[in-house]
Amino acid sequence: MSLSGVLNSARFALDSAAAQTALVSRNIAGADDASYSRKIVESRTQSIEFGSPQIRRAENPALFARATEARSEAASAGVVKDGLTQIRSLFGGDGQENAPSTLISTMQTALRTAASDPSDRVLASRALDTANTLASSIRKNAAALSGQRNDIEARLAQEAEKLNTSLASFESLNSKIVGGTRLGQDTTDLRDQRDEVLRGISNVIGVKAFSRADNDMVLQTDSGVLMFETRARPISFQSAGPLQAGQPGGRFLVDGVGVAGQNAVMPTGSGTVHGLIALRDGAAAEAEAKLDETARLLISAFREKDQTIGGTKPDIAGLFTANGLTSLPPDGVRVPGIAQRLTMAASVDPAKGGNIDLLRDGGIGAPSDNDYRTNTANLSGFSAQLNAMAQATDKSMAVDANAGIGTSRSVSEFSARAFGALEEQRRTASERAEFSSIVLERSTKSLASETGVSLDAEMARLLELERSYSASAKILSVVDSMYNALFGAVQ
Amino acid sequence: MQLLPTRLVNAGPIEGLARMQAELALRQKELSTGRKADAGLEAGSEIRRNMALKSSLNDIEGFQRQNGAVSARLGGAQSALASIAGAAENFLNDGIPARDAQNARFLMGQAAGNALTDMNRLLNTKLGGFPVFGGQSLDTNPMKDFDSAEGAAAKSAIDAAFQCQFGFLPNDPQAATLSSVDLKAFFDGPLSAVFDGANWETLWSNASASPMRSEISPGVTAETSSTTHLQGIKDLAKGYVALAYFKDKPVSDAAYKGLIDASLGSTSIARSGLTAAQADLGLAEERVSKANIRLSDMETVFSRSLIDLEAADPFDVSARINTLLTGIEASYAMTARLQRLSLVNFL
Repeated sequence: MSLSGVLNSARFALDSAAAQTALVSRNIAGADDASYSRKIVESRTQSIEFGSPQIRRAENPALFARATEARSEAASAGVVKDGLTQIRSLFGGDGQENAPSTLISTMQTALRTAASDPSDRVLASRALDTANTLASSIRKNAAALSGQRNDIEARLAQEAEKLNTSLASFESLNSKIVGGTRLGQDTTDLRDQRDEVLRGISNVIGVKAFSRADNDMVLQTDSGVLMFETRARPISFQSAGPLQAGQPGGRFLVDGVGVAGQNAVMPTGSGTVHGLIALRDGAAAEAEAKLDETARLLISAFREKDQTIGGTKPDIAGLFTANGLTSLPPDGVRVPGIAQRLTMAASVDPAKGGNIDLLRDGGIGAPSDNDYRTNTANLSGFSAQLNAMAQATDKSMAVDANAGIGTSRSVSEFSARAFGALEEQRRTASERAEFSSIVLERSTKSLASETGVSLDAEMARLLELERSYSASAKILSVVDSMYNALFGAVQ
Repeated sequence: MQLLPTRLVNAGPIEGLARMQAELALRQKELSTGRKADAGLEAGSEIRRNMALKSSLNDIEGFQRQNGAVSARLGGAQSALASIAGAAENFLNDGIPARDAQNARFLMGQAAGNALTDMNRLLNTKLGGFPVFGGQSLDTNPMKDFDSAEGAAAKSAIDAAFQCQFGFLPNDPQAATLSSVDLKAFFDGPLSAVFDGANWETLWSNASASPMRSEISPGVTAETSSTTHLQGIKDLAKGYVALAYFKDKPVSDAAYKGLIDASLGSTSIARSGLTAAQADLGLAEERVSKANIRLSDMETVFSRSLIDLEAADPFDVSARINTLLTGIEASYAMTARLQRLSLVNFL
């Protein structure tokens, strides 16, 4: 090799060392960035062949896919858990102060105490107070549940919007990457950014990514609907308008195909969208159905009968009724939305101009019709009606099987079981959320340990580069002095 | 071998910190309240059992409070009946010798009047505003006062019965012509009718015929008050009223003696009626006290099960807190040490 050949090699070595030093500083700058992946220069021989140094990034597609999947799952589980915690908080703290079963039991005790001295209006008004609290608590909780379901509708629309924005930036990044790759440019930072956008998408909906030539990427939902291929596909949410009790919510569409909600053709199995819809049509809707049944059972348990012998008048709603209720709802069938209208009869409520004595005498539902009155002899110490009311909440009645708590239960038992079912759901959801967050943590960590930057390694690399740089410089000065010697001899 | 990314190395000890701190807060709450921080989350659907237990305990407490009042009520009725029976006994004991005394009419008439007032007072006993003999009528005194305006209807009913039997009123001078047999027949016949059935309800008493019933333990109802509609009371009232009312009427002393005999007979019959009523009340009292025993048994069992499900074990909790504190301290120390440990510091 000639001296000029040596000089050339040394110059290449200097170039390469400078390029690698630049890379080290890039890596150090990105050491604290979770989305940054370590950049590596391809081997020197290749870089000589292609003219400029080729940069690639540390990656592991299998681990990345697993982390993406885990993120979707954790997002879904987290949403469900939070939603159930929100539902649970409606029923009070550890004492379950606002749970219907607690309030029913309080009312039962108050009614029984009132029965021990039916002439005592203080006891009667305490019993009325407990009944009023029960009705208004069920009413408020039902309204809160309905509000929660409607909030979910609004949030789903936002998620669709968010997903569209994400897909748009995914599209612009992806086209830059494909173009850049074809021109042989360094696209590693762009690909980091694209991965970051993909992370955001996987939070919203379960997503599968496929790589193609020129670093191109195709996205599908975990159920197989195309979300991105060269260009972004439209995401939309068909809101079902203000949701009424028992009404299923709207559908979430990807490229016109239903992926979540009623009659979804290709339902997604994870992501915030899945969690929200599972909550809206699952736990929240079930809780709503159970409250409706509790309300209907209460009305039914306190129904009043025609007291005349051989009386044929129909049973009517008594202590509890619902706004706009014209006749007693049929047994064993849920009346959607009745919990939101549950109220204590005004005819017995002195605050609404009612007569508190009706609690003792019966005929709350029809104060002007003496046929429904049980205290026919007008006794001030008449205890039979109050005793019967105190026992009414323990009487078995036909229950809508769709509420998931059997077909024949007393209202106390039904409401206690409904609460138990909620706690069970919350426990399951909480376990799932915990488990999936651990899986997410583990998979993110193993991905990060492959793609992250170690400052120590970079510093060591810097030392190495410093050495090779000064070695190359030394060679230059040696060749220089050799030329000097050569030219000196020629003169 | 590849070096671990700096971010992971540094984050390592911090990672667990958030979880440990959150758990520490929960455990501290448990330590201060002695209850599990989120019993529902731990127990799941089992919490239903807990709620049932709590509501039963709530019920039991209600029953116990109310049974206290019921016992007092029944006890009050019992002691009132005992006093009435004692008075009747005295009336009999004093009456048999007094019957043949010179001033029998004055003595017996006076004694009957006093006994009647006493009996009415006892039957109108109220405990905490609750008339124990009122049955299901709680707004008024169970007995009407014979000597005041309330008794006017009863008096005119007696007068009417008298007129119907003899053709003239008790105040009529012709009454002096009646014999002791006449008056005895009047006592057993028309006068008895004035105290019976519907007449008792309209003329003498405001109480309802049936006593009050209420639940004394879950699903068990029992009579929890008494009423004036007891045969013993009616018999006593009849005897007392006859002597007190005819004391000042123009009937002859000999005829009045017939009334005394009839009244003493009625009183002695009343004694056995009262004993039966006392036995009934005693049974009701016993039922309540048995219910109380069962309630306190249930309370013990239920509250024990409740503790099992909800209570946090203080030893377990404080051990856990110690472990958490150690872990948190270790992670602080590690973080500080790791920050110093970087190649940069050594170049």
